[in-house]
Amino acid sequence: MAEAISTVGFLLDILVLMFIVHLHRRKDDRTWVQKMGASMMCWFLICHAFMHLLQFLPEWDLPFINALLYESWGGADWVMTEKDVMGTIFEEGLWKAAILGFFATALIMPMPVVKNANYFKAGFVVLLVLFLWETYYTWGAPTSSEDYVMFWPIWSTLPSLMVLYMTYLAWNYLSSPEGAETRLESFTDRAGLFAVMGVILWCGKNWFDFMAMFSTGEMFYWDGGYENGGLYVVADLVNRFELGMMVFPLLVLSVGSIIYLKNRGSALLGGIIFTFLALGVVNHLIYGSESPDYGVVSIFVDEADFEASFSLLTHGTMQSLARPLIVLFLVIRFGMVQVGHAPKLSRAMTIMALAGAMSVVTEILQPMLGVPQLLSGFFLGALLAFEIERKIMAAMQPKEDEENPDWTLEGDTGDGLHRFVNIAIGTYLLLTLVMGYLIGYGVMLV
Amino acid sequence: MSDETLTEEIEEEVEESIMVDESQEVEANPSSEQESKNVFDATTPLSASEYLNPPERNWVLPTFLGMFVVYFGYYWFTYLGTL
Repeated sequence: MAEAISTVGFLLDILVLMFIVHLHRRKDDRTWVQKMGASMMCWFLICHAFMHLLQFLPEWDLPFINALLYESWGGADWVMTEKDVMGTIFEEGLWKAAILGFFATALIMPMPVVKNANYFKAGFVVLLVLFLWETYYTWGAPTSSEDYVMFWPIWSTLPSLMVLYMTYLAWNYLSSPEGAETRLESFTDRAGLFAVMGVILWCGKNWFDFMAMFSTGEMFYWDGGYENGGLYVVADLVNRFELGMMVFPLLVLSVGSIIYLKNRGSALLGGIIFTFLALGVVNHLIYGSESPDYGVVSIFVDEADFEASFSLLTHGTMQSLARPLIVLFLVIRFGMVQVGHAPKLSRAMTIMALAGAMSVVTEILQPMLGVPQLLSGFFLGALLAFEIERKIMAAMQPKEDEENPDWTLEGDTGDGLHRFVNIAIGTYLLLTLVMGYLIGYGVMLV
Repeated sequence: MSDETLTEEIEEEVEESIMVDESQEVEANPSSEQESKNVFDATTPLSASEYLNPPERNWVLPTFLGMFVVYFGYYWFTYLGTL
């Protein structure tokens, strides 16, 4: 089952990626903000697909891939999903690029917060250099030092700050009255919608552990090295902040969804939050105050095991299935691609996404509720019979009355900034691969 | 009133009306400049401080910071208690 989720997650990533790339290459009247957003979502999907790929790649037994990603420093590991140092470094690099790309999108969608392109470029380069230094720090020569403290200072902090920023935008949106009366409100509302989806994408999988907050669950109250002083204190603060920020958005969205319900009469977000909380209670009843080891669960899952199936239904589906679907929603809703170029392909994309998601959910439900996964075929038939996919696609389209200016920047054009960011990410990934080889095979920096 | 006089009066009125139109066009020029300025402004990003802290709802940022402090305060003191 774990392989099935990874496979479907991988396929969804690739399908959505190909869909975006196909439409992204068309010439149309999109603004630079929308084009850059599409590029960043592509980087995210590439990284996410690779994460799935690493889980079942060894099964294909490809000599070159095995040598490159699984065999340095002592040969292939006994667990099929365990990478070697080079594979791990490259996967980390992909994740860091995905986070940075998503953060960049949050900063420009629908309006760039940074007005000067040079500041944007400088921040981007500084963070990428810091990421490279961090790779050296966590895998290279410093690890052999007696004073070494194991933590990711940038990889832990940056996504936490990104989530904090998006949570604030979401709070701003959810607490605003219905109907944007000013130009400013119309932009902050759209930024808030992007932020709500972004926060769910990045943090949703952790919210099922929320109930552990009220006990001494190891996820939140792990005894770090705080009492050792020095760099241990910094590492502990960074780790506490990272873990705390996984759940803080849930608190804000919970309060915000009540205000949203009061102001706008929509219970959709509140219902989603309530579902997270209800599943969190069940999760707490199953695992007590401890968080399940999702890595082990996803590898050694017993298909007849309710607990393992439940973990996959919550954490696994949020990580594997929800993310590419949320990205699909974002690129269409914010006009990052225009589906009008290929209506048939867009319809097919929606059907495939829904079919993939339903098949996995029914497969997970099978051992829990005795629901045969063959039911997914009936669900798909109902979906096609009522043409629900067309309604979904129509609902995702950008609103016609939304203002969509081609923002001007100081220092460079938006297209110039877009090009620079793409080149920077590509260069960074290449350097990460080289650094992974040098460290993984003990050539240098170790 | 002779035909010639009438024609002259009509020509004078037409000239006056043309002059009035021209003066209106001259007066309209500043507004067109303003419009072009507005068009330029429409593509300039809004102030980041207003974007992130809407002036008409100045309670948004303080309440968010309040939730942040309460949440991490609870988190921190509970964490210290487990050490």
